[in-house]
Amino acid sequence: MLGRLSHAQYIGSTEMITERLWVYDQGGPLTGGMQQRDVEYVPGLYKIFDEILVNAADNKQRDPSMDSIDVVIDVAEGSISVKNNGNAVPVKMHAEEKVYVPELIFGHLLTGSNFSDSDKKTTGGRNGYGAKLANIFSVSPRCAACVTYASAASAPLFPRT
Amino acid sequence: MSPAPKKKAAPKKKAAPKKKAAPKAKKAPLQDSAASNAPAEDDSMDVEDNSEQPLAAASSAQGEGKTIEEMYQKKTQLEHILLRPDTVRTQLRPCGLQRRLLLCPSP
Repeated sequence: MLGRLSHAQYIGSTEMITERLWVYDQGGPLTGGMQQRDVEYVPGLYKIFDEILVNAADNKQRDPSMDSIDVVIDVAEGSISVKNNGNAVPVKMHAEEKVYVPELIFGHLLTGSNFSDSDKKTTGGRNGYGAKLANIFSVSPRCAACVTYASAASAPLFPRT
Repeated sequence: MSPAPKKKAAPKKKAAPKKKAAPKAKKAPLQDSAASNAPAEDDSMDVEDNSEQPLAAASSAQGEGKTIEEMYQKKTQLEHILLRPDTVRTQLRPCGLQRRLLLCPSP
């Protein structure tokens, strides 16, 4: 609700823009190099994707054995999935908030695991919005981060908050 | 979400049947929920007694030695601001003219 009234404040513009950016071009003339060129994109959509990507990257701090992030963009289906092979989010009841941890950190605003300054971060924010914004602005947010990598086939659907 | 447990009231037909989790010590990880869903994981978050330890453990991986409740938290808007004032306060300084000042930006 809050987000929809002034979403630009949280995720940026939802209008398509053209901006000169550095991109990695796999099939370009430079074959696999970085290129600077005009890119058409929607900042708000990019932002909510990036929030999830950043979370996946930060899991490396929690589990040093993590060595891959798998991003699948299905244009036809209109879906983006991000998967990392680090430790999973524990599917356990949070005794104080009385919800399961995945629901807490993906579905409840102002929550997170990120409040200790002694913890190292790769990139992530600390305001308790990030992944929730992706949840709020997705048609069908799904979370399979809570199962282990090997059995990540199941994907419990989370209601929007 | 669920109503706060009034006491150890008799288990009437409440909407959500409370498990025996409530009266437990709040630092202890809840085993019953883990058993139902998560595969047998003995990851770093399953630590029983560290309630007096400071968070700044010199461990290789983060989250080691933390309970679920220490690791994942919900904070009010006010707590967020007080925790990181620099994220919301930067525009308060006048920036109209450029001048050499001696000041202490933030404690």
